[in-house]
Amino acid sequence: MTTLDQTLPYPWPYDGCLDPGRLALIVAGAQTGWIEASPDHAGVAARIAAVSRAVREAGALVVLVHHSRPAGSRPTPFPPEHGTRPAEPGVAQSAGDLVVRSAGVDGFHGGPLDDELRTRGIDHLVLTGFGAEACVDSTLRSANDRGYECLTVTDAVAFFSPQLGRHALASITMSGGIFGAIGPSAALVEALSHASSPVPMEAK
Amino acid sequence: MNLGPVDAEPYPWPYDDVIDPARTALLLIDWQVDFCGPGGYVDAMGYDLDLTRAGLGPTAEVLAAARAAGWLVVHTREGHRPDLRDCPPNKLWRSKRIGAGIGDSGPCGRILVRGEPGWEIVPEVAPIDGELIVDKPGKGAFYSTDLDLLLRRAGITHIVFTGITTDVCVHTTMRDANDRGYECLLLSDCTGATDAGNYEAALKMVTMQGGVFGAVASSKALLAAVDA
Repeated sequence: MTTLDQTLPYPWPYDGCLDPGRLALIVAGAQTGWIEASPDHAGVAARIAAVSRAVREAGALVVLVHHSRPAGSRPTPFPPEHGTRPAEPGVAQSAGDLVVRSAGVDGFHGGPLDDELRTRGIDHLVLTGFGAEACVDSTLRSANDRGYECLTVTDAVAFFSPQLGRHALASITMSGGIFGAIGPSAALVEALSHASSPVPMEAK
Repeated sequence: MNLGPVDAEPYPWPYDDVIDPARTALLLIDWQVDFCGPGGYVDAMGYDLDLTRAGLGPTAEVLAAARAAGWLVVHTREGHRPDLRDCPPNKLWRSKRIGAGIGDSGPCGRILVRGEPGWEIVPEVAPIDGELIVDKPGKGAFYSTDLDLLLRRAGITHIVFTGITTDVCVHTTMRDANDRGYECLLLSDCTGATDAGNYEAALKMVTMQGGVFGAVASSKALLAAVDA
Protein backbone atom coordinates (compact mmCIF):
# COMPACT_ATOMS: atom_id res chain seq x y z
CA MET A 1 0.00 0.00 0.00
CA THR A 2 1.33 3.40 -0.98
CA THR A 3 -0.60 6.56 -0.29
CA LEU A 4 0.40 10.22 -0.15
CA ASP A 5 0.87 12.23 2.99
CA GLN A 6 -1.11 15.45 3.36
CA THR A 7 -4.00 14.70 1.02
CA LEU A 8 -7.62 15.50 1.92
CA PRO A 9 -10.14 14.16 2.73
CA TYR A 10 -8.42 10.75 2.57
CA PRO A 11 -4.93 9.37 1.90
CA TRP A 12 -4.76 9.24 -1.91
CA PRO A 13 -5.20 6.97 -3.80
CA TYR A 14 -8.10 5.11 -2.23
CA ASP A 15 -6.71 1.72 -3.26
CA GLY A 16 -3.17 2.40 -2.08
CA CYS A 17 -1.96 1.65 -5.58
CA LEU A 18 0.50 4.35 -6.65
CA ASP A 19 1.62 2.50 -9.78
CA PRO A 20 3.23 4.76 -12.40
CA GLY A 21 2.04 2.34 -15.10
CA ARG A 22 -1.54 3.15 -14.16
CA LEU A 23 -1.07 6.87 -13.57
CA ALA A 24 -1.22 9.96 -15.77
CA LEU A 25 -0.62 13.63 -15.10
CA ILE A 26 -3.23 15.78 -16.84
CA VAL A 27 -2.32 19.40 -17.61
CA ALA A 28 -5.62 21.00 -18.58
CA GLY A 29 -5.86 24.40 -20.26
CA ALA A 30 -2.22 24.08 -21.39
CA GLN A 31 -2.47 26.72 -24.07
CA THR A 32 -2.31 30.45 -24.66
CA GLY A 33 -5.44 32.25 -23.53
CA TRP A 34 -6.24 29.96 -20.63
CA ILE A 35 -2.72 30.37 -19.22
CA GLU A 36 -2.69 34.17 -19.34
CA ALA A 37 -6.19 34.31 -17.83
CA SER A 38 -4.81 32.90 -14.57
CA PRO A 39 -3.00 35.53 -12.44
CA ASP A 40 -0.59 33.05 -10.78
CA HIS A 41 0.30 31.26 -14.01
CA ALA A 42 4.09 31.63 -13.68
CA GLY A 43 4.31 30.03 -10.23
CA VAL A 44 1.89 27.32 -11.16
CA ALA A 45 3.80 26.59 -14.38
CA ALA A 46 6.98 26.05 -12.33
CA ARG A 47 5.23 23.56 -10.05
CA ILE A 48 3.63 21.79 -13.02
CA ALA A 49 7.13 21.49 -14.48
CA ALA A 50 8.41 19.92 -11.25
CA VAL A 51 5.52 17.47 -11.07
CA SER A 52 5.93 16.65 -14.78
CA ARG A 53 9.61 15.78 -14.25
CA ALA A 54 8.78 13.51 -11.33
CA VAL A 55 5.99 11.84 -13.31
CA ARG A 56 8.24 11.25 -16.35
CA GLU A 57 11.10 9.95 -14.20
CA ALA A 58 8.75 7.48 -12.49
CA GLY A 59 7.71 6.22 -15.93
CA ALA A 60 4.17 7.62 -15.88
CA LEU A 61 2.42 9.52 -18.67
CA VAL A 62 2.09 13.30 -19.03
CA VAL A 63 -0.94 14.49 -21.00
CA LEU A 64 -1.36 18.10 -22.18
CA VAL A 65 -4.93 19.05 -23.05
CA HIS A 66 -5.67 21.68 -25.68
CA HIS A 67 -9.29 22.80 -25.58
CA SER A 68 -11.31 24.03 -28.55
CA ARG A 69 -14.32 26.28 -28.39
CA PRO A 70 -17.56 24.34 -27.84
CA ALA A 71 -19.47 23.82 -31.10
CA GLY A 72 -22.48 25.96 -31.87
CA SER A 73 -22.24 28.07 -28.76
CA ARG A 74 -22.67 31.79 -28.34
CA PRO A 75 -19.78 34.00 -29.41
CA THR A 76 -18.09 34.79 -26.07
CA PRO A 77 -17.63 31.85 -23.71
CA PHE A 78 -13.88 31.35 -24.24
CA PRO A 79 -11.01 33.75 -23.81
CA PRO A 80 -11.13 35.21 -27.31
CA GLU A 81 -7.40 34.95 -27.95
CA HIS A 82 -7.08 31.31 -26.93
CA GLY A 83 -4.72 29.25 -28.99
CA THR A 84 -2.79 26.03 -28.90
CA ARG A 85 0.71 27.34 -28.28
CA PRO A 86 2.05 26.53 -24.81
CA ALA A 87 3.28 29.86 -23.50
CA GLU A 88 5.19 28.67 -20.44
CA PRO A 89 8.39 26.61 -20.71
CA GLY A 90 7.15 24.38 -17.88
CA VAL A 91 4.12 23.25 -19.81
CA ALA A 92 5.91 22.51 -23.07
CA GLN A 93 5.66 19.01 -24.46
CA SER A 94 8.58 16.65 -23.81
CA ALA A 95 9.41 13.38 -25.52
CA GLY A 96 6.88 10.72 -24.54
CA ASP A 97 4.21 13.22 -23.53
CA LEU A 98 0.81 13.06 -25.13
CA VAL A 99 -1.11 16.07 -26.48
CA VAL A 100 -4.86 15.64 -26.89
CA ARG A 101 -7.50 18.02 -28.15
CA SER A 102 -10.94 18.34 -26.66
CA ALA A 103 -13.99 20.07 -28.08
CA GLY A 104 -14.87 22.02 -24.96
CA VAL A 105 -13.90 23.10 -21.47
CA ASP A 106 -13.99 19.45 -20.35
CA GLY A 107 -10.82 17.74 -21.57
CA PHE A 108 -12.77 14.53 -22.24
CA HIS A 109 -15.48 16.14 -24.36
CA GLY A 110 -15.31 15.40 -28.07
CA GLY A 111 -11.72 14.12 -28.00
CA PRO A 112 -9.60 10.99 -27.56
CA LEU A 113 -8.55 11.43 -23.91
CA ASP A 114 -10.64 8.61 -22.43
CA ASP A 115 -9.54 6.14 -25.14
CA GLU A 116 -5.88 7.15 -24.80
CA LEU A 117 -5.97 6.53 -21.05
CA ARG A 118 -7.95 3.28 -21.12
CA THR A 119 -5.84 1.68 -23.85
CA ARG A 120 -2.79 2.28 -21.64
CA GLY A 121 -4.50 0.80 -18.57
CA ILE A 122 -4.44 4.14 -16.75
CA ASP A 123 -7.06 4.59 -14.03
CA HIS A 124 -5.36 7.05 -11.64
CA LEU A 125 -5.17 10.72 -12.64
CA VAL A 126 -3.33 13.71 -11.25
CA LEU A 127 -5.04 16.96 -12.27
CA THR A 128 -3.19 20.26 -12.84
CA GLY A 129 -3.59 23.19 -15.20
CA PHE A 130 -4.80 26.66 -16.00
CA GLY A 131 -8.14 28.45 -16.03
CA ALA A 132 -8.70 25.96 -13.25
CA GLU A 133 -12.29 26.77 -12.24
CA ALA A 134 -13.10 25.98 -15.86
CA CYS A 135 -10.65 23.57 -17.57
CA VAL A 136 -9.33 21.61 -14.58
CA ASP A 137 -12.64 21.45 -12.73
CA SER A 138 -14.69 20.30 -15.75
CA THR A 139 -12.09 17.68 -16.68
CA LEU A 140 -11.96 16.44 -13.09
CA ARG A 141 -15.73 16.04 -12.90
CA SER A 142 -15.79 14.11 -16.15
CA ALA A 143 -12.90 11.87 -15.03
CA ASN A 144 -14.54 11.15 -11.69
CA ASP A 145 -17.87 10.09 -13.25
CA ARG A 146 -15.86 7.74 -15.49
CA GLY A 147 -14.39 6.09 -12.41
CA TYR A 148 -10.85 7.48 -12.54
CA GLU A 149 -9.28 7.95 -9.09
CA CYS A 150 -8.31 11.63 -9.12
CA LEU A 151 -5.90 13.81 -7.19
CA THR A 152 -6.09 17.56 -7.79
CA VAL A 153 -2.78 19.25 -6.98
CA THR A 154 -3.62 22.34 -4.93
CA ASP A 155 -0.51 24.39 -5.83
CA ALA A 156 -0.36 23.30 -9.48
CA VAL A 157 -3.74 24.66 -10.53
CA ALA A 158 -3.99 28.31 -11.59
CA PHE A 159 -7.39 29.82 -10.86
CA PHE A 160 -8.94 32.91 -12.41
CA SER A 161 -9.84 33.93 -8.86
CA PRO A 162 -8.07 32.67 -5.71
CA GLN A 163 -11.28 33.08 -3.71
CA LEU A 164 -13.33 30.97 -6.13
CA GLY A 165 -10.43 28.55 -6.32
CA ARG A 166 -10.57 27.85 -2.60
CA HIS A 167 -14.19 26.86 -2.96
CA ALA A 168 -13.51 24.80 -6.08
CA LEU A 169 -10.98 22.80 -4.04
CA ALA A 170 -13.32 22.61 -1.03
CA SER A 171 -16.10 21.18 -3.19
CA ILE A 172 -13.83 18.27 -4.17
CA THR A 173 -13.52 17.24 -0.52
CA MET A 174 -17.24 17.33 0.33
CA SER A 175 -19.13 14.11 1.06
CA GLY A 176 -15.96 12.15 1.75
CA GLY A 177 -14.22 13.25 -1.46
CA ILE A 178 -16.98 13.62 -4.00
CA PHE A 179 -14.46 14.31 -6.80
CA GLY A 180 -11.50 12.50 -5.23
CA ALA A 181 -8.78 14.10 -3.11
CA ILE A 182 -6.61 17.23 -3.05
CA GLY A 183 -2.98 17.63 -1.99
CA PRO A 184 0.23 19.63 -2.49
CA SER A 185 2.73 18.97 -5.29
CA ALA A 186 5.58 18.26 -2.84
CA ALA A 187 3.75 15.23 -1.40
CA LEU A 188 3.19 13.81 -4.88
CA VAL A 189 6.78 14.40 -6.01
CA GLU A 190 8.08 12.74 -2.83
CA ALA A 191 5.84 9.70 -3.24
CA LEU A 192 6.69 9.32 -6.92
CA SER A 193 10.41 9.30 -6.12
CA HIS A 194 9.84 5.97 -4.31
CA ALA A 195 7.53 4.53 -6.95
CA SER A 196 8.70 2.93 -10.15
CA SER A 197 6.70 1.31 -12.86
CA PRO A 198 7.02 -2.50 -12.81
CA VAL A 199 6.83 -2.46 -16.60
CA PRO A 200 8.70 0.19 -18.61
CA MET A 201 6.36 2.39 -20.63
CA GLU A 202 8.05 1.40 -23.94
CA ALA A 203 7.25 -2.26 -23.33
CA LYS A 204 3.51 -1.67 -23.05
CA MET B 1 -45.39 32.92 -28.01
CA ASN B 2 -41.70 33.78 -27.88
CA LEU B 3 -40.50 35.65 -24.81
CA GLY B 4 -37.35 36.95 -23.23
CA PRO B 5 -34.73 37.99 -22.50
CA VAL B 6 -34.25 37.38 -18.78
CA ASP B 7 -32.48 39.87 -16.51
CA ALA B 8 -29.42 37.71 -15.77
CA GLU B 9 -25.69 37.85 -14.98
CA PRO B 10 -23.37 38.39 -16.77
CA TYR B 11 -25.59 39.00 -19.83
CA PRO B 12 -29.35 39.13 -20.58
CA TRP B 13 -30.30 35.51 -21.19
CA PRO B 14 -30.42 33.99 -23.71
CA TYR B 15 -27.60 35.36 -25.84
CA ASP B 16 -29.91 35.12 -28.89
CA ASP B 17 -32.66 37.14 -27.11
CA VAL B 18 -35.62 34.81 -27.56
CA ILE B 19 -37.06 32.13 -25.28
CA ASP B 20 -38.86 29.82 -27.66
CA PRO B 21 -41.05 27.36 -25.68
CA ALA B 22 -40.52 24.73 -28.37
CA ARG B 23 -36.74 24.84 -27.95
CA THR B 24 -36.45 25.38 -24.18
CA ALA B 25 -36.24 22.71 -21.49
CA LEU B 26 -36.52 22.96 -17.73
CA LEU B 27 -34.09 20.59 -16.07
CA LEU B 28 -34.75 19.49 -12.49
CA ILE B 29 -31.66 17.81 -11.13
CA ASP B 30 -31.80 15.20 -8.36
CA TRP B 31 -34.64 16.59 -6.22
CA GLN B 32 -34.57 13.24 -4.42
CA VAL B 33 -35.14 12.29 -0.80
CA ASP B 34 -31.50 11.17 -0.72
CA PHE B 35 -30.35 14.75 -1.30
CA CYS B 36 -33.02 16.84 0.42
CA GLY B 37 -35.20 14.57 2.56
CA PRO B 38 -34.93 13.43 6.17
CA GLY B 39 -33.13 10.10 6.48
CA GLY B 40 -31.58 10.25 3.00
CA TYR B 41 -27.93 10.19 1.92
CA VAL B 42 -27.15 13.90 2.55
CA ASP B 43 -28.89 13.73 5.92
CA ALA B 44 -26.89 10.59 6.79
CA MET B 45 -23.66 12.50 6.11
CA GLY B 46 -24.73 15.12 8.65
CA TYR B 47 -25.25 18.10 6.34
CA ASP B 48 -27.91 20.78 6.93
CA LEU B 49 -31.00 19.80 4.92
CA ASP B 50 -32.29 23.39 4.99
CA LEU B 51 -29.51 24.28 2.54
CA THR B 52 -30.49 21.67 -0.04
CA ARG B 53 -34.25 22.18 0.51
CA ALA B 54 -34.11 25.99 0.16
CA GLY B 55 -34.78 25.93 -3.58
CA LEU B 56 -37.82 23.65 -3.51
CA GLY B 57 -40.47 26.40 -3.22
CA PRO B 58 -39.16 28.60 -6.06
CA THR B 59 -38.53 25.52 -8.21
CA ALA B 60 -42.16 24.42 -7.80
CA GLU B 61 -43.27 27.85 -9.06
CA VAL B 62 -40.97 27.68 -12.07
CA LEU B 63 -42.10 24.13 -12.78
CA ALA B 64 -45.75 25.27 -12.86
CA ALA B 65 -44.86 28.12 -15.24
CA ALA B 66 -42.84 25.83 -17.51
CA ARG B 67 -45.71 23.34 -17.68
CA ALA B 68 -48.13 26.16 -18.52
CA ALA B 69 -45.77 27.47 -21.21
CA GLY B 70 -45.36 24.04 -22.77
CA TRP B 71 -41.63 23.62 -22.17
CA LEU B 72 -40.05 20.22 -22.16
CA VAL B 73 -39.62 19.18 -18.51
CA VAL B 74 -36.83 16.75 -17.63
CA HIS B 75 -36.19 15.29 -14.18
CA THR B 76 -32.97 13.49 -13.25
CA ARG B 77 -32.25 10.99 -10.50
CA GLU B 78 -28.87 9.80 -9.27
CA GLY B 79 -28.88 6.15 -8.25
CA HIS B 80 -27.33 2.78 -8.83
CA ARG B 81 -28.53 -0.68 -9.79
CA PRO B 82 -29.41 -2.80 -6.76
CA ASP B 83 -26.27 -4.93 -7.30
CA LEU B 84 -24.13 -1.74 -7.55
CA ARG B 85 -22.41 -2.99 -10.69
CA ASP B 86 -22.69 0.53 -12.15
CA CYS B 87 -21.02 2.13 -9.11
CA PRO B 88 -17.30 2.92 -9.49
CA PRO B 89 -15.37 1.21 -6.67
CA ASN B 90 -13.78 4.46 -5.48
CA LYS B 91 -17.22 6.13 -5.22
CA LEU B 92 -18.44 3.21 -3.12
CA TRP B 93 -15.31 3.21 -0.93
CA ARG B 94 -15.54 6.94 -0.20
CA SER B 95 -19.21 6.73 0.79
CA LYS B 96 -18.57 3.85 3.17
CA ARG B 97 -15.57 5.62 4.68
CA ILE B 98 -17.75 8.48 5.91
CA GLY B 99 -20.54 6.24 7.17
CA ALA B 100 -23.09 6.77 4.39
CA GLY B 101 -22.30 3.76 2.24
CA ILE B 102 -24.01 3.49 -1.15
CA GLY B 103 -26.23 0.41 -0.98
CA ASP B 104 -26.27 0.38 2.83
CA SER B 105 -29.64 0.33 4.55
CA GLY B 106 -30.92 3.55 6.12
CA PRO B 107 -34.21 5.09 7.20
CA CYS B 108 -35.17 5.60 3.52
CA GLY B 109 -34.05 2.21 2.27
CA ARG B 110 -30.73 1.47 0.59
CA ILE B 111 -28.72 4.65 0.00
CA LEU B 112 -28.59 5.86 -3.64
CA VAL B 113 -30.14 2.68 -5.00
CA ARG B 114 -32.78 2.77 -7.74
CA GLY B 115 -36.28 1.88 -6.62
CA GLU B 116 -35.71 2.68 -2.95
CA PRO B 117 -37.79 5.32 -1.10
CA GLY B 118 -34.72 7.60 -0.76
CA TRP B 119 -34.21 7.58 -4.51
CA GLU B 120 -37.68 8.98 -5.23
CA ILE B 121 -38.21 12.62 -6.20
CA VAL B 122 -39.79 14.65 -3.38
CA PRO B 123 -43.52 15.48 -3.77
CA GLU B 124 -43.06 19.27 -4.14
CA VAL B 125 -41.55 18.88 -7.62
CA ALA B 126 -42.54 15.33 -8.54
CA PRO B 127 -42.86 14.46 -12.23
CA ILE B 128 -46.28 14.14 -13.87
CA ASP B 129 -47.27 11.91 -16.77
CA GLY B 130 -45.51 12.83 -19.98
CA GLU B 131 -42.43 14.37 -18.37
CA LEU B 132 -39.05 12.83 -19.02
CA ILE B 133 -37.06 11.17 -16.25
CA VAL B 134 -33.38 10.38 -16.72
CA ASP B 135 -31.59 8.02 -14.35
CA LYS B 136 -27.88 8.63 -14.01
CA PRO B 137 -25.07 6.74 -12.28
CA GLY B 138 -22.79 9.79 -11.91
CA LYS B 139 -22.85 13.45 -11.04
CA GLY B 140 -23.28 14.69 -14.59
CA ALA B 141 -26.67 13.94 -16.19
CA PHE B 142 -25.14 13.43 -19.65
CA TYR B 143 -22.60 10.76 -18.69
CA SER B 144 -23.85 7.23 -19.50
CA THR B 145 -27.44 8.43 -20.10
CA ASP B 146 -29.67 9.24 -23.09
CA LEU B 147 -30.25 12.86 -22.01
CA ASP B 148 -28.49 14.40 -25.02
CA LEU B 149 -30.47 12.18 -27.40
CA LEU B 150 -33.76 13.11 -25.72
CA LEU B 151 -33.00 16.84 -25.85
CA ARG B 152 -31.81 16.82 -29.47
CA ARG B 153 -34.75 14.69 -30.59
CA ALA B 154 -37.08 17.25 -28.99
CA GLY B 155 -35.28 20.13 -30.73
CA ILE B 156 -34.05 21.67 -27.49
CA THR B 157 -31.34 24.35 -27.73
CA HIS B 158 -31.88 26.23 -24.44
CA ILE B 159 -31.85 24.77 -20.91
CA VAL B 160 -32.95 26.33 -17.61
CA PHE B 161 -31.32 24.62 -14.61
CA THR B 162 -32.71 23.91 -11.15
CA GLY B 163 -31.69 21.26 -8.65
CA ILE B 164 -29.20 20.01 -6.13
CA THR B 165 -26.47 20.21 -5.31
CA THR B 166 -25.23 23.41 -6.96
CA ASP B 167 -21.51 22.70 -6.88
CA VAL B 168 -21.75 19.00 -7.69
CA CYS B 169 -24.51 17.58 -9.91
CA VAL B 170 -25.92 20.90 -11.17
CA HIS B 171 -22.51 22.35 -12.08
CA THR B 172 -21.27 19.14 -13.66
CA THR B 173 -24.38 18.89 -15.83
CA MET B 174 -24.41 22.59 -16.77
CA ARG B 175 -20.73 22.47 -17.77
CA ASP B 176 -21.42 19.46 -19.95
CA ALA B 177 -24.50 21.07 -21.52
CA ASN B 178 -22.48 24.18 -22.34
CA ASP B 179 -19.72 22.11 -24.00
CA ARG B 180 -22.45 20.45 -26.08
CA GLY B 181 -23.64 23.85 -27.33
CA TYR B 182 -26.81 24.31 -25.26
CA GLU B 183 -27.50 27.87 -24.07
CA CYS B 184 -27.78 27.53 -20.28
CA LEU B 185 -29.38 29.52 -17.46
CA LEU B 186 -29.03 28.59 -13.77
CA LEU B 187 -31.73 29.86 -11.38
CA SER B 188 -29.92 31.03 -8.24
CA ASP B 189 -32.80 30.48 -5.80
CA CYS B 190 -33.80 27.13 -7.30
CA THR B 191 -30.62 25.36 -6.23
CA GLY B 192 -28.61 24.71 -3.08
CA ALA B 193 -25.49 22.97 -1.81
CA THR B 194 -24.22 21.24 1.32
CA ASP B 195 -22.09 24.33 2.07
CA ALA B 196 -23.29 27.93 1.67
CA GLY B 197 -19.87 29.25 0.60
CA ASN B 198 -19.48 26.58 -2.08
CA TYR B 199 -22.99 27.44 -3.34
CA GLU B 200 -22.13 31.14 -3.69
CA ALA B 201 -18.82 30.34 -5.41
CA ALA B 202 -20.51 27.92 -7.81
CA LEU B 203 -22.91 30.67 -8.92
CA LYS B 204 -20.01 33.09 -9.47
CA MET B 205 -18.07 30.51 -11.49
CA VAL B 206 -20.85 30.41 -14.10
CA THR B 207 -20.46 34.14 -14.69
CA MET B 208 -16.64 34.19 -15.02
CA GLN B 209 -15.03 35.26 -18.31
CA GLY B 210 -18.24 36.75 -19.68
CA GLY B 211 -20.33 33.68 -18.84
CA VAL B 212 -18.09 30.70 -19.42
CA PHE B 213 -20.92 28.24 -18.74
CA GLY B 214 -23.93 30.51 -19.42
CA ALA B 215 -25.79 32.88 -17.11
CA VAL B 216 -27.41 33.10 -13.66
CA ALA B 217 -30.76 34.69 -12.78
CA SER B 218 -33.37 34.58 -10.03
CA SER B 219 -36.59 32.68 -10.55
CA LYS B 220 -38.44 36.02 -10.31
CA ALA B 221 -36.47 37.37 -13.27
CA LEU B 222 -37.28 34.28 -15.32
CA LEU B 223 -40.96 34.37 -14.38
CA ALA B 224 -41.14 38.08 -15.23
CA ALA B 225 -39.80 37.34 -18.71
CA VAL B 226 -42.05 34.33 -19.24
CA ASP B 227 -45.21 35.98 -17.88
CA ALA B 228 -44.63 39.23 -19.77
